[in-house]
Amino acid sequence: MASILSGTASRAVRPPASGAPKLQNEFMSGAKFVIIRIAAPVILVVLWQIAAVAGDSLYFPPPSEIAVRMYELWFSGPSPWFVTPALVADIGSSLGRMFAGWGIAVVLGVALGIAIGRSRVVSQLVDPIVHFLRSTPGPALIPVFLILLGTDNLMRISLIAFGSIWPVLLNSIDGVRAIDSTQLETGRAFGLPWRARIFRIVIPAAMPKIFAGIQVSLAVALVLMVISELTVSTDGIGHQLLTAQQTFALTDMWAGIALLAILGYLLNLGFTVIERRVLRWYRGARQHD
Amino acid sequence: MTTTAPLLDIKNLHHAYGPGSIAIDDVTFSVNNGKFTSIVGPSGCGKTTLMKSIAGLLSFTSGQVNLLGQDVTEVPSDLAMVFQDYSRSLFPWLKIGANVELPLRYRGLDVKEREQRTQESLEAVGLGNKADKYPWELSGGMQQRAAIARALAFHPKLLLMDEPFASVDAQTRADLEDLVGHVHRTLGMTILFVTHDIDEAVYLADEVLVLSKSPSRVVERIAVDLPAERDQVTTKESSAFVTLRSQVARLIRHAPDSESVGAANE
Ligand SMILES: Nc1ncnc2c1ncn2[C@@H]1O[C@H](COP(=O)(O)OP(=O)(O)O)[C@@H](O)[C@H]1O
Ligand SMILES: [Mg+2]
Repeated sequence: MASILSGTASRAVRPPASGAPKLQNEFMSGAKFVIIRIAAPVILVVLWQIAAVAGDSLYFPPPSEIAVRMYELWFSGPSPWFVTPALVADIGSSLGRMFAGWGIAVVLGVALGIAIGRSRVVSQLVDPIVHFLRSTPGPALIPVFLILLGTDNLMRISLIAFGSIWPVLLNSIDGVRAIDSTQLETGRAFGLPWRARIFRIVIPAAMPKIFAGIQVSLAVALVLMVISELTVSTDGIGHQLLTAQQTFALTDMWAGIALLAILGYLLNLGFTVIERRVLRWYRGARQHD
Repeated sequence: MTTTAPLLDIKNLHHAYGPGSIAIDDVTFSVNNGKFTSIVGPSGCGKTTLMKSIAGLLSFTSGQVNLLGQDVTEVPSDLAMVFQDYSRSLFPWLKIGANVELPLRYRGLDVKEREQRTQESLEAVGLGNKADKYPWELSGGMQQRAAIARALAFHPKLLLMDEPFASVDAQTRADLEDLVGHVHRTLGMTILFVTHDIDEAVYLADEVLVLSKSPSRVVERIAVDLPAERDQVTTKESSAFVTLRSQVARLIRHAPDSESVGAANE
């Protein structure tokens, strides 16, 4: 988690892949590739099952039991979605808070990042402050947020926003600073008003970097969502986890953890799909370089 | 002929990027409406600085730039620019059509007019069927055509071109030169064209402006009295052309530094 919380996300600035290895990758991405990708987790689960059954420990129920429990808790609802009200309640309130906090982080992070990145003087002034603040682990601030904002949603949303803004902010600053001066001069020479220059040149040009930051901040937001719910909450997945643990319903607890893993995976997958669409031009432009 | 005020009037333009780094010493010239003026000068003599001063992209140290009777203090609205570096001037996140259309959105044109102008100018540069391509899907020459189309669609009173063909191959370059010459003749657009290629400067222009080494001054203005219709082969082999290009070459080769130009101008 430390590596997620520190450092700017630089995934988007890899040097372009050269032609030959890419071609090989394309061969790999056939059936073989799919099988390998599926095989590893399947083997892992099977091993886990065998170990859990053999070990017969109260603390480590076999995955089959966890799966059944997940089904009972969350996926045995009425057709067509088979979702239980409990799932909607747990995930709904959790995700609501997460998206609220993350959304604030993204909007504020991009806006501040542009403001800071556009001015050399401002960025030099703000740089040390930003790096100091972003080095503060989000969870460490829970006591402060509790005192200042109480125990309700506002506190959790603020915590998520505060903790997940840094990757967006830092990457936005970076992205804006790296914009080609010819692109900006083109916008000015053709009489684009400043708003248009921001929304049609600065933001799209910085978008690859911004997206890399947003993706990292999504992971951070998920972590902070759970942590904030483990501390004080009346609903959400974290709350479900905590209650299960306190009532010694260990299968329920594992089911909650598995649900979180699936959620994290799906969120990242969804994000990647959007990113592929939005940054299609970027991929293309780099291949044609 | 009536004596109207020049479209562009530059008086004693001087620009220093910092103490001691003077890019333009003292440049004065004017351009009449509808004229094609080439600017040649050694590399680093301040040609790009001059163009940016005219385009309002740079607040020059002193002097006056007057376009259409107005002092240029910010970006003038009747001016378009074609940069040397087309690959960095076209926006890679927009398709060719959208690149051409974008500046038109802020000129008070409705959707239909914008689409029409975009299509017209893309056709004028031979890219009528490329509107849905991204810039990076096209060759360098085609990208520069798209940049020209963007400038044409803008309907500027003055078109600035800063070494626009410096990074395309020879054949493409000849094609693009003829395209620009054609645009100049058919649309009567006033064009200021920076190049370090003497042939290109003479071939296209009504007038060639020779700049001295940095910090620059105007060494000479040479009227190009070749027939309006030009041809890559016949024009360039004509004795008038050959004489002109030698004249320009001699001026550049023996470009005096600014002191002696200043002295000669006394
Ligand atoms: N942004 C800048 N800051 C400092 N010096 C510059 C800058 N841009 C250009 N110069 C200097 O000014 C002089 C003229 O540059 P430029 O106008 O680009 O010349 P040209 O276009 O004729 O090659 C050069 O000596 C160059 O190094
Ligand atoms: Mg230049």
